[in-house]
Amino acid sequence: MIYISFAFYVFILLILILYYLLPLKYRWIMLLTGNILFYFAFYKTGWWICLGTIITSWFMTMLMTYFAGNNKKLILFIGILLVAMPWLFIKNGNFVWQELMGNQTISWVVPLGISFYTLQMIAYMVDVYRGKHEPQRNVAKYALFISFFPHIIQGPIPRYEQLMPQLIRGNRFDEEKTVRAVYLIIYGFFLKLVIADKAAVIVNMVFDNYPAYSGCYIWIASFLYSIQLYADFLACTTLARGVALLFGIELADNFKQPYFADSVKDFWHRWHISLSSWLRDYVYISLGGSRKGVLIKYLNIVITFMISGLWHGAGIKFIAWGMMHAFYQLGEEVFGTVKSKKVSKLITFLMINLAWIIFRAESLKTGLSMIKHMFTDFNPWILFNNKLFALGLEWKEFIVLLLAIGLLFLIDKWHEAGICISEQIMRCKLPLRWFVCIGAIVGIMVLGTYGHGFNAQDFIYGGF
Amino acid sequence: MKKHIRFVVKSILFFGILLCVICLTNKILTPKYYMDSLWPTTSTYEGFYDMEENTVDVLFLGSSHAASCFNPQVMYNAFGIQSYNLACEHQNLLTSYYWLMEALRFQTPKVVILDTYALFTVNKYEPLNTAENCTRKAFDNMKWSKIKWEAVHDICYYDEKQTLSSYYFPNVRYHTRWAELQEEDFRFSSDKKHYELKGYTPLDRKGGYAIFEPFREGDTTDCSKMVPLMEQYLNRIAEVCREKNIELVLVKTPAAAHNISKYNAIKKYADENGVEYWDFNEAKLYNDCEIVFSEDLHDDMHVNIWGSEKISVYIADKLCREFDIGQGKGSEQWAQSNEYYQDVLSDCELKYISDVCEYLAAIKKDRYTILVSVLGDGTDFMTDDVRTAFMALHSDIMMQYERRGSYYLVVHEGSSHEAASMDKLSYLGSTCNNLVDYEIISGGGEKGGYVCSIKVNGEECAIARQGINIVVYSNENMKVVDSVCYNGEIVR
Repeated sequence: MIYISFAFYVFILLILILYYLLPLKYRWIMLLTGNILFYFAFYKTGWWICLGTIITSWFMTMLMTYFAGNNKKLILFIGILLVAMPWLFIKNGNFVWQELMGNQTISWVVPLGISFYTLQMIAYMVDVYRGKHEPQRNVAKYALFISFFPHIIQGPIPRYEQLMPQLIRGNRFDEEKTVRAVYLIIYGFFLKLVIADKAAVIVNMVFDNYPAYSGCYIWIASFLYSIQLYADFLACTTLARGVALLFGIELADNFKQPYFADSVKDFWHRWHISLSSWLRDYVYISLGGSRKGVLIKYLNIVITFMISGLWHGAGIKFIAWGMMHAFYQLGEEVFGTVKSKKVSKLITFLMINLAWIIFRAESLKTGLSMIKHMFTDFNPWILFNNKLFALGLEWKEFIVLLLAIGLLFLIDKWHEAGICISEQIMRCKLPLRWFVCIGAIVGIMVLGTYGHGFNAQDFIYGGF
Repeated sequence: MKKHIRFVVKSILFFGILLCVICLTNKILTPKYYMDSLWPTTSTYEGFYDMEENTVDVLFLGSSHAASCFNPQVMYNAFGIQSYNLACEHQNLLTSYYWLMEALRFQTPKVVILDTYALFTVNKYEPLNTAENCTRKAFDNMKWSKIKWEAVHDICYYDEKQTLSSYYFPNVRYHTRWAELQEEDFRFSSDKKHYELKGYTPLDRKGGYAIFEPFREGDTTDCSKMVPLMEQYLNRIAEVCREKNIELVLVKTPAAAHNISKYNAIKKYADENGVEYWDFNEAKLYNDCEIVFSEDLHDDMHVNIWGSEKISVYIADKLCREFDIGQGKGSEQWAQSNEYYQDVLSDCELKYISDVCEYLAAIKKDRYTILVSVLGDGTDFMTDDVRTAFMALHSDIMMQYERRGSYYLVVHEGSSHEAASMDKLSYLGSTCNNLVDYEIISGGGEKGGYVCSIKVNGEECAIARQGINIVVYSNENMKVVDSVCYNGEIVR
């Protein structure tokens, strides 16, 4: 919830003013200070784990400069192990300890954004090992790269060569970038409050009360969950991009209209791009990719998706979710995809939608049962007899949700066609621009799902 | 540099406009309780700010018991006492304290009269003893100042369910109201002018228990326990009054929920702190005021307008004698509102008129819109006197009304519109500068379909019994004042 809290934007405003007041070459120090303040103002817990892994990974890359060959490889291996260990314990410890061994749950100290910054550090160390770039000799600058507050909670997972220069150089104030940043922030709020959290009302009602709901209820809830997850994650990334852009820093785009994908492979080129490219570059290719024959390639795909599943959460259901995607891809590899783009897009969406049910359900067993009851229980009358409005959203709110989803679809369609909405708005005359902005802000303020009577929804990917 | 200055200026302008739009939106979204609500809390508080500074001598605070009991107009009429009633629904002591502090920014009262209902448990599940929405009602209308800032911080400290942001940005609390916005949410600029009753809430039902026995001091020595937080704020109120040299009077209005144990607890507190305590449930005051529980109470908790007149006169007399307040040169603010009060009183009295001719004469006023629809056979009980009374009400064709026919009549600002037929009749119109629409349907007999409907703003208001159905709508207060059916006698 941090990125949509009032306090966060007050904090941003203060850091922003101080950032642009400092001379160019010292501006990165303000960002680093901002990171530290952000951590302590909004989270506090587990900072020492984060700091420890930052120093470890930095030290390992510095060591690499003095060694070569197998020794360098060993340092990399130890570095990855040390950096990944906290993540393995914190995120998977309870799965092994409690679910597999039947012990009491351990309440681990969880540092902010551990799943994201761990991958960031591993990528950095591997890149230094591969000689892709020189190691950063200044530990403070390296700490800034790892802990940059707009992306630490939910990514995108940045690459050193893309982000570091922007952080260090000190950016001049740019009116156009600032205005674009404001548009992104408004869009982020729209996605989170008007789509994701509104859809969550119905999704939670159906998923949390299964088996009270079946048939069409599950179909609707699953479609809405697919949209909720997308809108929620896109919201967080968009907000992160918007906030970073206020400082003149461009973060990588993490989504490319994923539900317009015409195959599962295409979907992973469009969904959580920074994670899928990380898995491709540091897992799939490291395992040999497609260079070692078809069978090894298939095995690599399975391993990569298993790791993807584990990254999303410990538990059988996440592994099963990863496996579903692996087998989807293997199926596409073996049998190919349907020729008609429209049909293949629809099939892809439905397959991904089924996988999301496993992802969202309480357990694998519940998820499978829900999928079964989607097909075995026939109750289409709920679409006509107002029963849908008993799921927590009354009809006016439901219409708002549908219209908002329609708008998201339209915006994605324009993006797919290469039309950038923010650029289009920027070209309009000032009064129209202001009218659109103020209308959007007030619209979100009135129609959003937040405040009294609602359980504030955390960003879903913040939990990973 | 010039470019940057231009950007800063543009940003300030943009955020200025945005702020105005947000404030306006929040104003629309915030619930309003004006004269058409049972408890017109918004009128009470907004009206207070419109009072001339340092003109209020007596200030009333407390829950709905106090809001419906202390009648500033009656006190002014009787003894020239200039008072204002700042009580509201479920006003807890924290709210009373902060509204007293707020009032002291603008007024210098000599006496503060505080109803003690909320000193004891009202809602044990609420950290502030009373419902959150009622606390909001009181503070949503308070102007921003250090006092409101302290108040909302205290509220959020004691009630963790409430958030500071929802007070700074009311949309956090009320934005879901967008789906239920009503006309009054948009016409606040005109409605806010109606604060003639100065915080008093007139109730018109005579619904108190038939048997009510006031207790007598000394009946028992049992002592109820006050809610600690409420007692803490009572102490703060007493402290402020001491500091400002204001007489504090604790009061309990007649209410079935009150008892001797509570009386003892308050009496003890009053004696220990040197403040007055007037309990109208105690036999002496109850009898001195000549209260008849079944006649002077709206229900078993709230005094109606007639009971309030008795108690207000009694209190005014006491204030005059014991604190030397009132009988001054008078004030236009109270003098001017007497006419409005008399209208309100006659609205209340309307409900107790049983003679149809008297009733028709009473509603023949320009401030009413009268809507009439006949169901079944209206002629069976139509005497010449009744026909004459209707004709006096601008009905020209009532005399021609035929047995088992349909008939409707609309009387508005001295003019009328009517029709009679054997077929079903319907009429659509509007009143109050087209702000209020109504629809009348009359199907007198079988041919007409035997139907009757009088809808105001889409809401059915007719009793729809066989006979002459009459709905009286107050143009001034924009609410239905009475709905009756005459079928030989007036039925409500």
